[in-house]
Amino acid sequence: MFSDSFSEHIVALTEHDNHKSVKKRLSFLMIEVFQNIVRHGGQEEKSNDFFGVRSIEDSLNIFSSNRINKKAHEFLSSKLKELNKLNADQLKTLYKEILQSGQFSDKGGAGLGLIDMARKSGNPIQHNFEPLENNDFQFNYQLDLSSERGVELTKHQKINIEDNIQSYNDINDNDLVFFFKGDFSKNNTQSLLNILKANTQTYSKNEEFNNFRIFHSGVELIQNIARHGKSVNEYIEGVFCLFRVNSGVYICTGNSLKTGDYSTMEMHINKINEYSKDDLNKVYLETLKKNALNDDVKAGVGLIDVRRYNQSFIDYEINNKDNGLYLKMGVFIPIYK
Amino acid sequence: MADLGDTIIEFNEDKGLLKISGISMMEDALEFYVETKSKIDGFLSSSATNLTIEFELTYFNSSSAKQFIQILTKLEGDKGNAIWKYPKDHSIMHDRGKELEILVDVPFEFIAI
Repeated sequence: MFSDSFSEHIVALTEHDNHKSVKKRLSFLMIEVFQNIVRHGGQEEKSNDFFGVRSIEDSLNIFSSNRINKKAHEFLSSKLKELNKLNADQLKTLYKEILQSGQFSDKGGAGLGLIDMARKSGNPIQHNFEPLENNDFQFNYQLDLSSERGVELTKHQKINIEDNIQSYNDINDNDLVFFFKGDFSKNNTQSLLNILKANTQTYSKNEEFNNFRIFHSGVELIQNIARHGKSVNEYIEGVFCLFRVNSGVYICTGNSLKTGDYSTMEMHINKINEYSKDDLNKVYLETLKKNALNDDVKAGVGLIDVRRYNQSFIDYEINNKDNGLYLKMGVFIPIYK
Repeated sequence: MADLGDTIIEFNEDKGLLKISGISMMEDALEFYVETKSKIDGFLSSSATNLTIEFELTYFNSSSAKQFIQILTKLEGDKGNAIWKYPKDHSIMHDRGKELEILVDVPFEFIAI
């Protein structure tokens, strides 16, 4: 299930220097697509709604998937067929006609929202319907846009919607809740944390301990990437994902390491994993005390916290990648009933 | 962009009260608390009054913990005291305050709100 509150954080996350000229259109379209899920998406506890944004060289795409009923299927399939045949001028004319005739409703009965999306993306709307039980359909659609205004993308610049559907299915199969691959420099990190916060925040007493541990572990691991990740042209590429597993969640991260961090990192993690449960609280206090008054070192207790609150080991792997070292880290966070 | 929580710092020099509230999770806490620390130094060197630091946080990360130790250490030697307000039922925030108390020689008062 999606809540409306994090659309602005998602938008902030995709702000990228390469795409400055499309920023406005992208934000508009993302909010439009995202809110369509909130408005029309499945209300069931385990609805398979999905929202994603990908940027590939000079093209961007927004992919969305949600369950719809038979009536919506009939409307959308005929409307999309019709709209995809129209050029920019024809879409503009149609948009004006509908506005003037006043035949639109809150639910967008005349397809005004679709026309607007088609106009702003400047490309045909890729779509696909998968039949589900009870005459429902899974509605997948994708908006493609070029980083240059009004430019229609060539076939090889676009990702085929089938490709995104495949990624979406993989994500669903793995119970992935959230996946982000991109820049982990300061501003983006803050947006990521806001998304994490929005999704781990409940006010019930029983969940407080679980929410704290998920959020805190995410904060420390994400900020570790920002601190230790290799920066290329002020861009720190990294991966963060959170998925559901039996009786808990699993958080994992990936990033290239700055040179020289290999042995420090390996020793640091091994040492933390060797401490016994009883030792961890003591080690937290000792380390914090030792590092607190020295501005040249970090607090150094982030991973200790992750390990002591979750009572899990820090899984990690360091590989060679692109003439450098790549660190993958993961931690299981048990959810207590 | 509005964040889900900001760190709010209020320094009332007349009352000798510094309040840190909200959520403290910035990546570079050192940079964030530079100004606060120099204000504390200024206050302690020019005022005869003791300083009370009141924390009312719903969350803080590890780099903030380090800054809190630095801030609290300034009160050592009978220069002030700390008040740790934590959300009622939030045992972790209570315990995380207790851990700070252990590390500094400053009187702490704990208040559930």
